[in-house]
Amino acid sequence: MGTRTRSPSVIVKGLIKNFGDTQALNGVNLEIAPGECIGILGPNGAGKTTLLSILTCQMGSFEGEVFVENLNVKKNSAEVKRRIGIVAQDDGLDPDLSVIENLILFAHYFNIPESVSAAKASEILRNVQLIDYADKPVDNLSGGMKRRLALARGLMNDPDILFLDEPTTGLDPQMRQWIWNYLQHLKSVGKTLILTTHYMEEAEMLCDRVAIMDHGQILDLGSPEDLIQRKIGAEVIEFQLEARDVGYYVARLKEAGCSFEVFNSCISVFLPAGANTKDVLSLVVAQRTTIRKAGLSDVFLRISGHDLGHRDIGGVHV
Amino acid sequence: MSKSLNAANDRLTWHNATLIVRRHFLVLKKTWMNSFVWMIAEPLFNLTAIGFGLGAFVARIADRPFIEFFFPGLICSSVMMAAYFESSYGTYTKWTYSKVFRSVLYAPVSAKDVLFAELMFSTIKASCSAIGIVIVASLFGLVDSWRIFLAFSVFLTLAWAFSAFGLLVCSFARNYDSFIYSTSGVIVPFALISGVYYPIGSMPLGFQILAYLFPLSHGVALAKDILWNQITDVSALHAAALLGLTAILHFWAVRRMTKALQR
Ligand SMILES: Nc1ncnc2c1ncn2[C@@H]1O[C@H](COP(=O)(O)OP(=O)(O)OP(=O)(O)O)[C@@H](O)[C@H]1O
Ligand SMILES: [Mg+2]
Repeated sequence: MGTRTRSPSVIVKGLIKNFGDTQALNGVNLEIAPGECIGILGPNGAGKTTLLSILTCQMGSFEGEVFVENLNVKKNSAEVKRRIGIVAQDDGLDPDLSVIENLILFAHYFNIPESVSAAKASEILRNVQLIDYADKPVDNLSGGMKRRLALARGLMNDPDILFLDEPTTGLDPQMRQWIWNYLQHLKSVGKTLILTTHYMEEAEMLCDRVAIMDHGQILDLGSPEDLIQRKIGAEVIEFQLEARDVGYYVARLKEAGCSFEVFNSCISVFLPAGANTKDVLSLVVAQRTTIRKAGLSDVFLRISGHDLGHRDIGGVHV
Repeated sequence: MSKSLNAANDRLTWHNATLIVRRHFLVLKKTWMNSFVWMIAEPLFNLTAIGFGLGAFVARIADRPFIEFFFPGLICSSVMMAAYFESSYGTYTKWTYSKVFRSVLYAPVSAKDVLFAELMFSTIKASCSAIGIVIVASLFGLVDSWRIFLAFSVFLTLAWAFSAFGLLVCSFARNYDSFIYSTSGVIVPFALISGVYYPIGSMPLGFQILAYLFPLSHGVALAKDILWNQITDVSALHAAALLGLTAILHFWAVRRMTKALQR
């Protein structure tokens, strides 16, 4: 990335947020550099949306300090909102307005004159392929179309920082691809992107750094390669076993000093680069054995001990 | 570490508030028939049923024909109803059900901007219903003086007061059923004892005192004083009471709702 002298786009220090007895954020610390794309991964209820809501000035009461573009969100929320774009998890569109009204009225609050905003809205709608729906009520859109409109609205004020809460959830493959390309484009022109996602491939493809969150804390943070290398190694061998055999093989692997995780009756063994695969294979006689490259999913499972429900990394059967 | 928000974060910007009001009117335009019927038809039926229908059986009241006695109170209570319903059910819907507030708050506006827009919008809507009644009533020959324009200062204040009351109720509401308490427990009973249908003085003392705790009674008294050209020192007391109660409702409502919106 070269040396950066600009101050961080986002600074979060000791952030705590409680909803009654629920501790949604439990001491979050984070710094995000300008132009960086950071992905926040975590199971349902980890606190991702709460974190983004606070960063985007949608939630005002919390403990800790949060600065966006050097502005304290507790003191300068309007100024912060002027400079950021927000794509919320549940879209947050105005249901009483048409598609294009959603964009044009939004632009009004940024003092963008209607002559400019109308042209801009049309251009963005063309980009997200909603131009044919410009005059339709928002309620007539499908879920994926609403998602695209939310993105369109987030771009109306040319933000320096874009916050995207699960931007591609519910989108068809073409649209997802289009959004990925678009986010790559935004990255290339120097925008800071902060996104949450449940798709590991999305995080690996787009993000310079990934934060893994659970129970309101950031458990680990680093580039995808760094995390994979540090937490997993190079390869993963999955042994699918009879349930009654699991205990026996766990003991053997332990004895051999392997690092592994057990999910139901499947043992995943993590191998560092250059490790001897054959040695490990000889330890276990499984119903089915799979060797594959280590990915973010493995890191995620390793760190949070949950199954995310999206295993999207292909494996090789042997 | 302070949990409360810095004052700068809930600064009111009138420009933003008016933009939000514009948004509400844009939406209103799409369903204008709805509001129009509500604003004009209901007072018209009220005027006809109570003013002329019931009024035919009441010889004179406070030294004038019943319809004349009834007219100022009718405007005041209609303004109250219009403002209250808009800022209670209307605001609560925009806040919780349709999540319009959320969509607006993604823009660089403050919670105060949103709340003042609610107050302005329901005040304007309620004032339009006053204009509607005045137009209808003038067809019946009930409006005979320029003083009606002066009376609008009272109608506007009442509208603001009950817009604030509606917001206040919103800040306590748990769901739509909560408004049954404020409607059936406050608005409707007070409409009956605030001098709209008969002089307050004809009630037992306890009820008279109760009536004057509520802004409507002062608004009705003041509107009558203005329209009947009988302004006295007592009118000034009513004006002070109306403004005082409005201010209390306003600051209480804005304070509670600002907190609620900022979560
Ligand atoms: N408004 C709220 N009131 C009460 N509790 C809340 C509220 N919002 C979130 N929570 C709680 O805070 C925790 C974090 O929720 P959050 O929505 O931030 O999770 P998330 O990581 O975004 O999950 P998901 O992947 O499902 O979107 C959860 O336990 C949730 O129940
Ligand atoms: Mg979420």
